Amino acid sequence: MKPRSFIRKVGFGLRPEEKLPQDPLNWAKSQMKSVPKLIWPGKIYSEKEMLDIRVDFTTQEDKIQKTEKNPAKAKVERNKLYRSSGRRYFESYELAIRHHQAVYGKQPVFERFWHFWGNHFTIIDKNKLPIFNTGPMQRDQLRPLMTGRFADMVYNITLSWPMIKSLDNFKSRGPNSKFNTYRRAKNKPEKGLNENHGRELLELHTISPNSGYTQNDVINTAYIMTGWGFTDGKKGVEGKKIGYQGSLHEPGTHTVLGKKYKSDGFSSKTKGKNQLRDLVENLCASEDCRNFIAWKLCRHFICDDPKPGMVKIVTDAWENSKGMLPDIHQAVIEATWKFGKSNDKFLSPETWLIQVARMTGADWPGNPKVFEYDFKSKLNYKQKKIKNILAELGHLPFRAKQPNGFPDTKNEWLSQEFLVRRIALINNPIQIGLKINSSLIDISKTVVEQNFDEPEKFINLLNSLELHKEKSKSLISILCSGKVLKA
Amino acid sequence: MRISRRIFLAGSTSLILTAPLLSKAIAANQTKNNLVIIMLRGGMDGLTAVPFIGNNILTKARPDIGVSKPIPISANFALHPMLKNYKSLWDQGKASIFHASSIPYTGRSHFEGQYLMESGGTQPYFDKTGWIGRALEGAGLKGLSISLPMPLILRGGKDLDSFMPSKNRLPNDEVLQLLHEDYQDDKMLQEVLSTIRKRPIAMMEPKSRSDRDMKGLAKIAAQQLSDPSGPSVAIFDIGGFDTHADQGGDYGEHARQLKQFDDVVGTLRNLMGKTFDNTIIASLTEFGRTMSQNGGSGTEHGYGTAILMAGGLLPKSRIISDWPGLEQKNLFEGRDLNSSIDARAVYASILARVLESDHKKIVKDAFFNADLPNMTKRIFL
Repeated sequence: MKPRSFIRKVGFGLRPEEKLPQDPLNWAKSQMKSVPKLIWPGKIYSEKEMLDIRVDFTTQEDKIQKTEKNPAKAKVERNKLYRSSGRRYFESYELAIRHHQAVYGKQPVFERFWHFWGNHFTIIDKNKLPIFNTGPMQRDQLRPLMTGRFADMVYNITLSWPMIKSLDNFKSRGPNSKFNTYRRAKNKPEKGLNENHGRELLELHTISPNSGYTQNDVINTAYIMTGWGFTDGKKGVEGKKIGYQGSLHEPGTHTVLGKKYKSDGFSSKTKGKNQLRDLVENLCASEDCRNFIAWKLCRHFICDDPKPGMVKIVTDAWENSKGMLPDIHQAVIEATWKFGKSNDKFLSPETWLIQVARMTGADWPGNPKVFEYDFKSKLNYKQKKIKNILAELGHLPFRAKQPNGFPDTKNEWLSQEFLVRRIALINNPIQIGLKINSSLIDISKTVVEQNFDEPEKFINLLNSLELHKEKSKSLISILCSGKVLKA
Repeated sequence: MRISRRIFLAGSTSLILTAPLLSKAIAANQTKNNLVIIMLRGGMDGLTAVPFIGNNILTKARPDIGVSKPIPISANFALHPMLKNYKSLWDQGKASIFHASSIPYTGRSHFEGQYLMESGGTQPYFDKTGWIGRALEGAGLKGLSISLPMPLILRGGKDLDSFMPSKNRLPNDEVLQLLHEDYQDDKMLQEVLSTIRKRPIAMMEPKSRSDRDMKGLAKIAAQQLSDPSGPSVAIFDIGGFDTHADQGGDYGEHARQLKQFDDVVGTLRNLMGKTFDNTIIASLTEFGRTMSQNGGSGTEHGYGTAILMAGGLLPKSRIISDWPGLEQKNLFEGRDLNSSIDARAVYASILARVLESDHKKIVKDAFFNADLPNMTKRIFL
């Protein structure tokens, strides 16, 4: 590939002050070896802190609902709580950390892969997860897992708090578990199986329906997953700790895709606990899993319809490394370098926005000091705008509606309304931190010179706009050009 | 005043381009028929929307999530209490339900199922166009999706637009012309931009964003469908029907989503005026849900479900069904309401009525000549 196009295809483009790397392929590949530190200078709340904040919030919100019967007073109380708890604040804050990293970080290619995995393991938009949990989980758990094995990533994210919460596994119980046997004996209604998480583990996270699993495989996967949930929650309500409870597990041997998973162990508390680990290992070692994930990675970076030759580079690296993610990622980068064409991949709104910010040198997502918050006031415009703009573009990354996450192809991302919103955003560039009195034409020229392999046509266009005193058109004609909408 | 100039340009262009359509409609002395498809993502539970009340078999299977205050509409069936607007249309003879039906897909994956409910085919992720798009192609009719993306169901049509209200403003048309020239080697981008430049004035006015306000969105659709030169098809997209846990009964998650559907139906009824007489609304979902509740007071992915239809093109209110029954032996794979008919047969007959086209032609254009029985008599006579 040509170097400047390649840098946009696997990263976010070159900043105005950045130099073109002499060896772009190695520049990109070397970024996969270590997990870059977050460069956000402000406070970074750990996933655990955010879980505590969430639980405090829900406890207080429930209290208001139960004790304050006057609707007007309840509203005032709730508003106060929304500010003191940061309910309206944390999602913007988390997005700011994410974008700051992508716009100013030194390993942008790593960040692209991080965004990919965040979407692969989608936590859907429900139960306030986007506000308190999704971003922190991606930061604290998913990100460090990116230099390890894929199987470890799957296992750990499957058992992450937001995943267990969003796919309901904490409500799933084996029909013949101790729990239900006891209930039957006491003539109480049974609480049965929930297939939701088991199905998505197979369909979305590992082997995809192409592997040919059946409804029976889904049920047996769900059996294997029974017992995993909140260990400190009462009566099926959310707790803080994820763990295994043998009393809820469906006993016996379960068969998934022809492989048997026995219920090992002597202690009734841990019997059956290993089944999930074994299942994940087997799923991740399968050819179906390799093919599916490699194809999905190639589709994300190279083109909407990746060819077998591209995918093979990745599956080969997977087999040789036994599923090590740095090798897999480097193979994706190599496949892109070898087979990628410029303008072949329509970018998602968020990736495009970050590229625009990075290439123009815009003050995006804003000075980190702006995001300091006293947990009393109304959020100001600058604190809210990252969330508002991503919502307007239709791509709030923590708010996918369905567990298959945001789409990844041109057919899904290119529509009249999606395009209107990108053009309208650049029509008012102050929103993305480009000063209105700065020279838009110079900014546009820098974007072209730094990031286009064949800049002549666009430089000519910009020169002619300058000549005809139509500088105001320059930014849109570059940032909304087919060249920048695609990579 | 850059903006008004842009609107002026957009308005005039749109008039010029729609003129042939207008004259075609006048020449044929026809009023424009409209089709509204409301997609219900996640697997709408036909047994919650239209519960079977012939005996207590359903309430037994669903002790925690049964509909306790169903509104009876026949000896055997009732409506969910959230479907108030729908019920009033039922009372006026303008609503019909096709019960125990599904698209021909039993894999129970949302994403495969949603792909097929939109593509109209039988192989997931295979066909790149949608059944309505293919039916519209060549018909000279416009389609509008009330959503940010262009949904698969409309793809393949010629005069398509996707729309959601926004506060932000576009630049003047000269800037868009620059982009148009830039997009010359990307036909899809260029077509999308052309539609934007042809948008009617009403769609160009900045409005506050209201993605969650179904009534607000339905208002826009009502305006557009009532315009003789506007779209003939409008698509809505409502999610949240995948209730594996805490599905609720009269209230709760499934009920909330049904209310969204009902809000769209009610708003269209109220705002479309006489145009509603030439309109049919129909629901569309990827599958129904299990007959019995699960461990988390929810239901799992199932098969058969109900198609809720409304509008002046329906001759009377009725339940249309070859009811398979809910006894264990009658359930699909022992767990789901069965499907007595390929849902595509229902949609084919609806399309044929709305487009005033031959049933065979619709089945050929929209549904790949699939073996679909003609349901026109059962729905429209």
